[in-house]
Amino acid sequence: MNQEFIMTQGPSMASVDVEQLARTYGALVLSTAHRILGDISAAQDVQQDVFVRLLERPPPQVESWPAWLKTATTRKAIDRLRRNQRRDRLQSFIPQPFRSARPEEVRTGNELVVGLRKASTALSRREAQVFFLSAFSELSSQEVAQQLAISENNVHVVLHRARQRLQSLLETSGNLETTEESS
Amino acid sequence: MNAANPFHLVDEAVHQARKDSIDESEQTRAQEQLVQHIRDRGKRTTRRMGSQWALALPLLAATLGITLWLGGLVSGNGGAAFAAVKQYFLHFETLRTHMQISVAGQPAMEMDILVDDRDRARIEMPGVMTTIVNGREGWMLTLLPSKAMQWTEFEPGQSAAADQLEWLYEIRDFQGQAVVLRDLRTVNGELARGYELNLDGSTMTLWATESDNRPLRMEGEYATDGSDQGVHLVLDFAFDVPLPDGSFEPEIPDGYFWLGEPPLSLD
Repeated sequence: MNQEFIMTQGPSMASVDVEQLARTYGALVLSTAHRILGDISAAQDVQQDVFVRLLERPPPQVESWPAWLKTATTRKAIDRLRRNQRRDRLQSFIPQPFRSARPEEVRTGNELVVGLRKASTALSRREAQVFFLSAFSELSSQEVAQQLAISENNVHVVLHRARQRLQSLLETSGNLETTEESS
Repeated sequence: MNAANPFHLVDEAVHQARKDSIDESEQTRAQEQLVQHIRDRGKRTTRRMGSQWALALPLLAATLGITLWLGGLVSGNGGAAFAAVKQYFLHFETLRTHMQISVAGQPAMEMDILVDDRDRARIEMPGVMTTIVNGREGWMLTLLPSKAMQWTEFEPGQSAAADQLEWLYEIRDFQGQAVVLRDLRTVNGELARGYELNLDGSTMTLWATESDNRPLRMEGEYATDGSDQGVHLVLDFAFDVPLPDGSFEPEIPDGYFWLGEPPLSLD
């Protein structure tokens, strides 16, 4: 565990200086969540959730705090994306006056990025984690493998499959025309 | 745009997302709020721990009494009982689920979901659509009331019925603590015990028979991330019941036409 964030060492688990971690890596966590969610207030919710979880249940051992925090953030952000997507599907069955608006979609400008976020909810959780950690959080395949406890080879296979699926979904969702017009 | 790159749309989207930075003032504000939030939570944790030790002995007796009165939430017997409930979702041959969705107290949607142990599903939403999915073979047939139909293929093993079956996967994967409710209730004519679960941010109550832990019903408010309208779900379960012949077959009723390319395998 990185020594500078350890406050006390108990018999089974180190107590982590969460406030110090937040000062050091708060911006990193926020930007990781923001890239995935595309909305500052949703990203801020995820940022707070990640650090509160650290406060309540500190992990037993952390080799790299940036990689650990990016992974925890990515997981929470993916959960939120999937929940939003499920809610949107559910809302399509709900009479219009009862539907709730979702501000994050209204504020997001780039349709290709919005399409990617939406398409990512069709991936399995593992595929989405590998994709976002590699592409958005910029972790190396070795770091992704360590964080997800899978082999590096598996990371490459899952990432390739995720990219194939996303490309296919983006092509069929009509984002192709949008991008080509804007490029 | 590089057409030679088979993932050009994905790469372009990633590139765009990486450029999308957070305004500096928003970042500063978020950082200040984060630190304050952690301090507040830390104080609450410390205070709670302090009082816990100071009042440990007197509280012990009271807690025992309260626990007995509540019937408990309990990871001991409650956990074992819920594990038995969960087994039904893991090891059924067929499962029929009737789902009702209501919004602000008004019925909004009903659907029947049939699933079997061969990763096949049929979802019937009257007046909206019927979907038949075969996860092992990797196809999905959607029939619309307009008599249009669509064939979708996907990688075998990845269930395309995930939208409607996510609740099932979440129960199967549930690792949290189930709160056992004290009062029994009659559900669909059977005496049932309630288990409160937090499924991906939504608190749902799962009712199972008191006699053999067979799940009967799950209900609760759907997490809506700030929506002020309550979306209430009720799912009634019937395990290992006979399903109509051909429920999972891609049979096409008369008069339907294809949206997009028809599947070669159905010629």
